[in-house]
Amino acid sequence: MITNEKDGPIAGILTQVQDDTLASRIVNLVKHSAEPWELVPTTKGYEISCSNQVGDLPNRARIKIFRPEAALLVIFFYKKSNVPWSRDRFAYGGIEVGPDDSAPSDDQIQAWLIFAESGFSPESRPPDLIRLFPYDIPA
Amino acid sequence: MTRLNPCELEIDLFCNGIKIHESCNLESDARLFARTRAGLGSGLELMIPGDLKDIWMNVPVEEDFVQNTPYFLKKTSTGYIVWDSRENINYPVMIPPTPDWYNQKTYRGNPMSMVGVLQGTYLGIYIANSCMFWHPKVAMNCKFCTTGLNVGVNEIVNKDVEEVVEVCRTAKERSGVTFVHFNSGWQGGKGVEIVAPYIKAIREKVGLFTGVQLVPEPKETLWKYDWLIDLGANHFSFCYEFHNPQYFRDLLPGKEKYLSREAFFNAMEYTSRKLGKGKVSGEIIAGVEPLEDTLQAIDYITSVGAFPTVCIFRPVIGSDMEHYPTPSFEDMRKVYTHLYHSMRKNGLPMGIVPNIEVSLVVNPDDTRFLAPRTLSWHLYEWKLKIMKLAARPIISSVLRPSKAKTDLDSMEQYRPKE
Repeated sequence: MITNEKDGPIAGILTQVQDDTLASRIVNLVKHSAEPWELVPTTKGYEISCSNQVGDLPNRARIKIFRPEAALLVIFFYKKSNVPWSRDRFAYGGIEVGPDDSAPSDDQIQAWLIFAESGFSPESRPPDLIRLFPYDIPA
Repeated sequence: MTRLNPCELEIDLFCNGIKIHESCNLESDARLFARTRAGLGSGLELMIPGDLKDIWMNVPVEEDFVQNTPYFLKKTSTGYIVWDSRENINYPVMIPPTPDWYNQKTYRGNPMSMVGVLQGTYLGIYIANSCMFWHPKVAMNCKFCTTGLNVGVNEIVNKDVEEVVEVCRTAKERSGVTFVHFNSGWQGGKGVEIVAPYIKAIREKVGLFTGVQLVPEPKETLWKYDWLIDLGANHFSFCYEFHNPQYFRDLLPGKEKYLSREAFFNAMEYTSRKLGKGKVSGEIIAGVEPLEDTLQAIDYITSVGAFPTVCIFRPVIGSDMEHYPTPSFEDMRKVYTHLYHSMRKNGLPMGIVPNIEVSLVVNPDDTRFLAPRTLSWHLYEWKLKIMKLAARPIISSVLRPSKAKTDLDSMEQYRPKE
């Protein structure tokens, strides 16, 4: 479920993803997840984060979805810093879906979400995750 | 538990990390946390004052194990303190501010901190692309490392030589930096060629002590180090991490497959002979392999005239060893006490070049706090003071820009004749 769906800026993201087949599929699967998720707008693209607990700690896992170019969708996995003002991002890798790639299946997308829900547990690492991910990731 | 001396406090903070109390105002008082290079610099930079020297360190704050720490950073009316909640002991500390040049833009428009960051008082710069151990489908990366996850996320992928010169010059002028350290992961055997233009440019345009940390050259091409020395390299460090062959094999699959532990030993011994005592370091991680292996590593490294750079294992976020436990204070105290005695036994210099404080590790000269202040301790202190005085003219000359002894196109001239 998306817990902040009713917030003003989020409605904007939801409208925006309607025109993007893959992004809207991701958001749709998030909506149907049993875990609580939040959508967060960013300067380029948007992020989804699972607001569950991992162990006794708040889940810091984030998925950033953006298009560095029109034909390329990038899904970047990172953990947020513990320190509120730190800009540090703890990368776990990413997925790129280009014009020549076949669209990921719902099962693949589910695996990305489960990975985030687990707080990026190595046991849940999706097989299609590229750990070396040489992109300059926008804020 | 009695009050810890500055080096003991440093060790215990590395093992436990610190929580930041709400009284702190680090957003304006502290350096940004910069998780670059292998990921070790992700903590809070702080300085512990001491009678022998001030100790710089990078305390873990981000990792999950920090949740169990007894240490809290607090801000009081007189400044920052580290509070040990077990014994209600306060230790005054200082928080170095963010250098005023971090957000300054380079001529290419990048923030300078995306090119290089201070890790303690030295400038650390990761050159070249990500370590190639991260490239294969089944990654061969070292299990403790996150380099492949960092480049491009928290720093620039390809660093322009002139941009690096600009940052080095600024760091020297504004932060009094005397040492720049270039490191890189495995570049498929091209590391020396990649680092060379940076070394020459720093020698000729800035004037700094320059350290190089690359994977070792194979035996047949050790002569390439002679070329780097003539271009201006003053120091080499070799990270072989684990002395125990089994741990080396299991935790460093890329180094095992493409390099071998012996390649590190060969390169360390070769460069140490070329540069002289105390100019080369062997880097290892303490707290993973059995303690006896770490002590043996220290003895081996000092026996070849190099100094040991010993990191206390930190289960960095995102690494394959993220959930490994951190080592105990007692074991780490043994390691660093041994390091001090091994350095002294081999007559190795420490703390000679001014203003090189590496915050990611316990520096060799931090360990002077650990030994009893006997006659031998005092004699070694005197020896170090004399070495410092004797080194002054050399230090001044290195800190002045000067023409490199060789050129970038002359590498082949160093190849030994058949």
